[in-house]
Amino acid sequence: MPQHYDAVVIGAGHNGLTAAAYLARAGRKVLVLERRHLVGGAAVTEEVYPGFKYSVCSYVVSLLRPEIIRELELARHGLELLPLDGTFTPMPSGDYLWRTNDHAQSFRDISRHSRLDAEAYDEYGRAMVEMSRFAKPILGMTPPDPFSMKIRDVRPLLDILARFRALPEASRHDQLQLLTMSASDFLDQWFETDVLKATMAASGIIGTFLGVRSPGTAYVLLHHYMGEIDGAFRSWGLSRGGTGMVSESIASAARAAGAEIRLEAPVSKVMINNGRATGVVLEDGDYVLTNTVLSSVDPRLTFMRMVGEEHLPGDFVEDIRRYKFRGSSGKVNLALDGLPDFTALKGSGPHLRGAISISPSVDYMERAYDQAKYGQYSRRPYIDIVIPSLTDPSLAPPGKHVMSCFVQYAPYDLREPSDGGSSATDAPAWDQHREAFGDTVVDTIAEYAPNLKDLILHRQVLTPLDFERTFGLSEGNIFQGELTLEQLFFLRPAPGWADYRTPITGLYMCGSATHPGGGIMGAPGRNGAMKAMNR
Amino acid sequence: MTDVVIIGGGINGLVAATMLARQKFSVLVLDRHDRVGGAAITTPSAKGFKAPTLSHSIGPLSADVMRNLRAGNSTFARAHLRFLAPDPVLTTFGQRDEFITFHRDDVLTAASIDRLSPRDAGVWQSFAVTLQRLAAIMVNVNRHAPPSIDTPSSRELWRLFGLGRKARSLGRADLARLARYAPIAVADLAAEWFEHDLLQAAVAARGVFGHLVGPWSAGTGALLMQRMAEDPMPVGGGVTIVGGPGALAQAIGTLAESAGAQIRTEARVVRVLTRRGVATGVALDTGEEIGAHAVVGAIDPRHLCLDLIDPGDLGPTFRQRMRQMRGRGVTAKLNLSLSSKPSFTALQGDDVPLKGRVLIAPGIDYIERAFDAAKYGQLSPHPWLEVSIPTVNDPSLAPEGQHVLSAYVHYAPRALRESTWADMSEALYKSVIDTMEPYAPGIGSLVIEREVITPEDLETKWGFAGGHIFHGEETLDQWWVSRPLMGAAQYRSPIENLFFASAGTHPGGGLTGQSGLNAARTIARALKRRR
Repeated sequence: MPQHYDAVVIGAGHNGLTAAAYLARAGRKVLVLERRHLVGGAAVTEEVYPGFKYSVCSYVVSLLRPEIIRELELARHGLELLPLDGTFTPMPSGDYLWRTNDHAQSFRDISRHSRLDAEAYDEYGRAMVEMSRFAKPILGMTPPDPFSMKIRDVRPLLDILARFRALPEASRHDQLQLLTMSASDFLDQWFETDVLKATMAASGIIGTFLGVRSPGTAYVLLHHYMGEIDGAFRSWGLSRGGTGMVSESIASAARAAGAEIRLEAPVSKVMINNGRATGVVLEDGDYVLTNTVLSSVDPRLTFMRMVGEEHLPGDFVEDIRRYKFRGSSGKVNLALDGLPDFTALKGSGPHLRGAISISPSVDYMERAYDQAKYGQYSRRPYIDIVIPSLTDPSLAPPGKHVMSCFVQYAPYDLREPSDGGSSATDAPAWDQHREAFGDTVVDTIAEYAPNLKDLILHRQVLTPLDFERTFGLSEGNIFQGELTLEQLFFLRPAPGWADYRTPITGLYMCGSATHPGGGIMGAPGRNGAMKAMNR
Repeated sequence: MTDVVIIGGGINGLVAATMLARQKFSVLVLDRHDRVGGAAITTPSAKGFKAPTLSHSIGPLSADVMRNLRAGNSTFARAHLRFLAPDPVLTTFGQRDEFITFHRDDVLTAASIDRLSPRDAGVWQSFAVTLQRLAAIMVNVNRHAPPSIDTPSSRELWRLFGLGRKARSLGRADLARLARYAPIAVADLAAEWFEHDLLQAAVAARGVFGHLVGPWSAGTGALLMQRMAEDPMPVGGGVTIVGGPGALAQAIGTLAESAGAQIRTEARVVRVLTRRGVATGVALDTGEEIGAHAVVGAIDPRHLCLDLIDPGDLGPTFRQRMRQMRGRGVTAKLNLSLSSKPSFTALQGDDVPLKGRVLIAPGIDYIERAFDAAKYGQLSPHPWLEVSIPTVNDPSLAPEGQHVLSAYVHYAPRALRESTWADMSEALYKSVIDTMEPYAPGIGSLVIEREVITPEDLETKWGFAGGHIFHGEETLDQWWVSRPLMGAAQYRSPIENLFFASAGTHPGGGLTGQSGLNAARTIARALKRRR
């Protein structure tokens, strides 16, 4: 006798779990099916080497919606966010830039480079906060379908327009610029210090296959300012116990509300009868019945693999085929015997507790991108480093550390020449170049912290191909699809289907491939669940 | 004291002059060069060649402008305006002697594509028709002044409503396309339709023309649509006129004069005169002052605001925003006098394709690599070129049997990092010849005369701020209600009685005359109110 559920969620990433928690709290009988042996998706903590706990993929928390923390009582379920304060950028010249949330400190340090910039920095921060106030309500919104041209759908857009009109002219101007400009151009209007612009622009390219000079990257700067922890704008944090604890706490909230989570239960098909979802089939042949399926995996897996083109309208299939992934990032997780010592600022001071950014100049960033455009991984990449064990010692044995290095660019479609070895010529390019890529990353950091190489006890290198294989992220895109303008809001994942519904009745989307997109936000999960419950 | 003084006798200035003079305003056009035309001029060389100095094709003038000028009037047209609409319109050359010839007829174009990709040939017509349908919506936007955001008039609201209805009639699928194509990278747009790199590049080249962007830059889809709204041929029609682009300016100048406008050349305005925040006239470099009820800047708005207006009149905020209007020129121009017609190997002696323009942009990556150099302030070592040989259609432009060749060169960034343009013009010439040689061997040996116009020349001699040929990039934040700036997009400047009328206003560049026409309507209304 097959089991019957009110709702089945595919994928136990933070969004899938969020959806499940909301459904369970509304009294639904919910089952979550997860392919791997642990919950979390890309937000996981894994003890890859004994004693060292890596936040394997996603490593910082900022955009997690406060209403989700509140409504699911995540603090009670073990979520504790620790502040990650500051960004330290070492430079090849031996100088550095170090900004923190301590206003006076940042002002002093930017002043060393440019007094004008130090003053502009405050003003910039205020302008961005002002602008995020405008943009923020859009994050929590279910995107309307303007193409229907129905009053009901056009109205929310008119409301946005009306709010836009109400802005002062200068903000309107900035707001439009943010939509179309490149991060580097936008920052050029404010600042003159190259390293400051490069480090700030870096946040505009994370997870996209675009460079800091590519138009359309400016608006991601705004995303940065929308991060909030405990209601404080613009703060980034780490989760105690690693990023996996975010997922664990949501899973715990879901279970407490009665949801069932089944691990190592990969889904092979969504059962469809007359255009309606009727259940899901697992890879082992088992199946469960339900009228409501929520998929938190990306649209390619959901529609091309689990649903099947034959059940979908042709133009929708076209849209999903066109949907761009183009993973561009890799991750190197290191287990260290001690702390790296940066030439630019010696010692193990507080500058190591925040993010360490390898982004010495705008040209450096852009050249990294240029290589990737033609299919190579950057020989001198942008790297965003965090040493979470400094904030949360439980992640590593005493005196030892874990170091998380987010690397860009590592194009999924790698066109590196084969290394010439006779053995592995048939293997995918990334399998041949994985370790060389890891070496490049370590070499790059070692240029700024020469003792790094001697400290490495273990090294885990994750390429976009690994993200795809292990975490089910198509083409290794960490946001389940590029965050470019033509794939946002009412166009995400496909025009006309941005409201979490799909052409299959009873099948909903609730992952990062839906509005408002990737990052540990939880908003897609919550919005998707609401839609499935018709609220 | 005249009613209107217009600074700049380019196409927009002349169109505005004609329209205003016809409404019985006294109009004076001032141009600093020895003849009118701005970017639409033909200059005879020492050896009797007449090259299209800057632009080698015109607009085409928008239908709206033609109608309003009544320039289609047959006697006038026969006497002054003999348009040449070449067919084929463009041939693009690729590796291994591959080429595609684009015709006015989609079926012929498809046949040419078919040799390289039957699949692409099959979708060509559908591509052309679809994009034309979408661009038609933009034509409606282009025809009118952008609405005021703060205090839209009932007329503006009505027009917006009409636009909404038109958009709605596109239907769901097209609306979704429009929403996606605006922010997309033109390389992606081209790849959605076509598989062959050479064809993709031909489409993409038009989307990056004139701007500091590459085919992978987001928002280049919108630029392609903007070009198609001016000229619906997917790769551009390359319309020109007998006698070269200068003949167009002469003809519109004649229209303006016959309506009563006065035109003064070699009259260089150095300052806009104001009294208590109101424009009262202009001062020339000779010291002469000319009073006027309205001053119209049919020149680059940045040049106008930053160089010709007293800083106190505009205020620091407006000046700062104007300074930040992006217009980073990347286009250079090369005019060659040739002893005979160049011969392209791939054509195997067939000269017919040379009636249209020639494109050397053999692939998306090729264009993108050319763009890479520009990002770091360098001239592209392998530039992409759009070439026209106007003498093929109009032999009067050169001595018997000889030819004129005109090439737009991308990318030649205005701001070079390690050198100056004064030192680079030889390198520019050489890079163009080297780029063409593999396709047209021996072309370098045909050169009798050459003229290299660098982005610096465009700025200093022609008044294009930053050397940008469209008076400012046409990105979404510098378009429609925010061209040149938000709050100053309705052809009015912050100074009373001072108006904008150049390509730096909506709908932007491309020698269509539409900015001049739209501005003239605004100006006429303002003047009538005062009468």
